[in-house]
Amino acid sequence: MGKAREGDKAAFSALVRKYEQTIAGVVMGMLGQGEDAEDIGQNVFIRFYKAINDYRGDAALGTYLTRIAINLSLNELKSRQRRNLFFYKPVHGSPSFEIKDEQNRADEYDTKQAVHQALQQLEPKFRSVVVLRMLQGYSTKETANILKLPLGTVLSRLARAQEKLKGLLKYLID
Amino acid sequence: MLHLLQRSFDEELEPAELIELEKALNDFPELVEEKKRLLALRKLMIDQEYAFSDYFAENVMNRIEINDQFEAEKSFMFAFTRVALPGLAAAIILLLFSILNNGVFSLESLMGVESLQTEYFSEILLFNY
Repeated sequence: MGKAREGDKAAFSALVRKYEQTIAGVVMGMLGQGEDAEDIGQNVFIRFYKAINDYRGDAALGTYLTRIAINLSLNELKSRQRRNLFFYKPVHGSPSFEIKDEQNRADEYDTKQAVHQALQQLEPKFRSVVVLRMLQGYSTKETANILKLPLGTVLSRLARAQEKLKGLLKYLID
Repeated sequence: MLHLLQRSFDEELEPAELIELEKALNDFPELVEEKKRLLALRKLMIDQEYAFSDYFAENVMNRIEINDQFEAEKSFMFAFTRVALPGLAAAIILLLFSILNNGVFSLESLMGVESLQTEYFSEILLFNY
C-alpha cells in the first residue's frame, strides 16, 4: 500500500489483482454481468488511484473499495433508471422473471444463473444489502456503515429481500 | 417466531430470545424446515461467484496510463495558457504603445530601431560567416 501511495504502478496493479474479485462480487451482484459492470469495476480502481492519499486506513482497504463500488453501482442504476424513463417500453402480461417448469430440476439448471437472475429482480435498495451481507459476508453493522443506513433499516431490508428471494428460488431451497 | 429466526441469522439475540427460539425449534417442526430453507438460501448466496474478464487489472492500468497522459497534457496546456495569454497581451500592449508613441506601425518602431533595411541583414550575415 505504501509503495502504491508513492506512485509505484506495479504495486498498485498488485492491489487491483488482490481486490478485483471482491469488487466483481459487489459490482456484478448489483449491475449484472456485462460491459457496464466491467467499466464500473475499472472506475472503482481509477477513482481510488486518483484519491489514494485520501485513504487514511480507518477502514480495511477491501471495505473502502467496496464502499466506492457500491456507490458507483447505485449511481449507475439511477442513471439507467433515468435512461429508461425516456426509452421505456411497457411490458404486458407475465412478470419479467418466472421459473419455468423445466427449470425446476436443479441439475438441468444453472444454479448460479438462477441466483443471479433472482438477485436482479430485487430493487436496488434491497439488492445492495443482500450483496453486502449475504454475498460478501459483511456483518449487518458493517453493511449499515458502508451504506450509511441505520442498523434497523438494514435488518428490515434484509428480511424483506430474503422473503422475495425465498419465493424466487423456492425450487432450489425446498 | 419467524421474525426471531430471521433475526438470528443477522444479529446476536438476547439470551432470553435465544431460549425462546430454541424452544420454538423443538416444538414446531415447520420452524425447523424454515430454518433449513433459510440456511439453504444463505448457502446459495455465499456460493455465488463473480469475476471480471481476464486482463481486468491490465485494462485498469492502461486506463490509468491514459488518464495520467491526459492529465499531463492538460496541465501543460494550463501552464501554456497561463504564460501564452499574458505574453500575447503584453505584446499587444507593447505594439499599441509603440504605435501611439511613434505614430507608425512597423517592425522598426516596434523594436525601437530607427531604420532597418534588408542590406543590413545581408552585411551582418556576410561578416559573421
